[in-house]
Amino acid sequence: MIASDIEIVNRCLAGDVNAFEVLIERYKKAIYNTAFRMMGNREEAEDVSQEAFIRMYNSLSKYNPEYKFITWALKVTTNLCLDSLRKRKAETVPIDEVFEIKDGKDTPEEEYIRKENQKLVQDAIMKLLDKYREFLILFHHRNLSYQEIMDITGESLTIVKNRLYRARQMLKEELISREKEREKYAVPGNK
Amino acid sequence: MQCQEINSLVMKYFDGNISELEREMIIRHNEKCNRCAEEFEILRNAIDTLEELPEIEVPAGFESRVMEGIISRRA
Repeated sequence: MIASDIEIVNRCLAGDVNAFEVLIERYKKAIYNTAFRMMGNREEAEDVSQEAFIRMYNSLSKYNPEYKFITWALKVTTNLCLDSLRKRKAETVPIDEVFEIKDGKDTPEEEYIRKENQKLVQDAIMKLLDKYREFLILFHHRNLSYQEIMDITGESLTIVKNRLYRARQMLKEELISREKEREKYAVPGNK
Repeated sequence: MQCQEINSLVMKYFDGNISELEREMIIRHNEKCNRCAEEFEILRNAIDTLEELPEIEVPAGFESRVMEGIISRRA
């Protein structure tokens, strides 16, 4: 029988360190991918994800089983991402490009357009203020509900809604300004 | 309807919290207003892309490295 998250947490609290590996296996993909979209590159995403799991283990006694384990795990992870981003200096940080594996259904042209779109959106969300990027990723990439985002961020429903509103506005403005830049440098008659 | 009001409805659209009537209002407004129509398409394309950004594989050996970190800090 598959152990529930809380059963595993209790086993860890009773001293079975290795039981924690089951929770890592269960949630590593969600944690690592959230960190990746927040940080923009694999190296920092791995550092933050590892640290997040270590912190979760060390504070398991504080885990409140009223919330899903993944909600708590994402809370620890996004807090660490925001801390790391605050400490990050103005130096250029690489943004890793990640594209879907070709499934053979798209024509080369469709594939090219999709990759360009993914690059454009990934670059644009990295330009947003961290606190806005966080909300966009949780809602639109991780597909979480308002309630889950409230639980993760500790913010009220009004703030969650307002921040999502502002985040989308900023994303739109960033994309429009890129489009204008592109048009400015486009060769006339070669649209 | 004013562009500003349509913008609020557009945000409701992306919240997934919009009525059929409100959706119709956006369509009707956008048929007459090129600017709003263009902005709506830019945002819809971006949100669709964001929702479909691929999941990446977690690096090999990730669990072991976390477990080593936990054990070394306990020591």
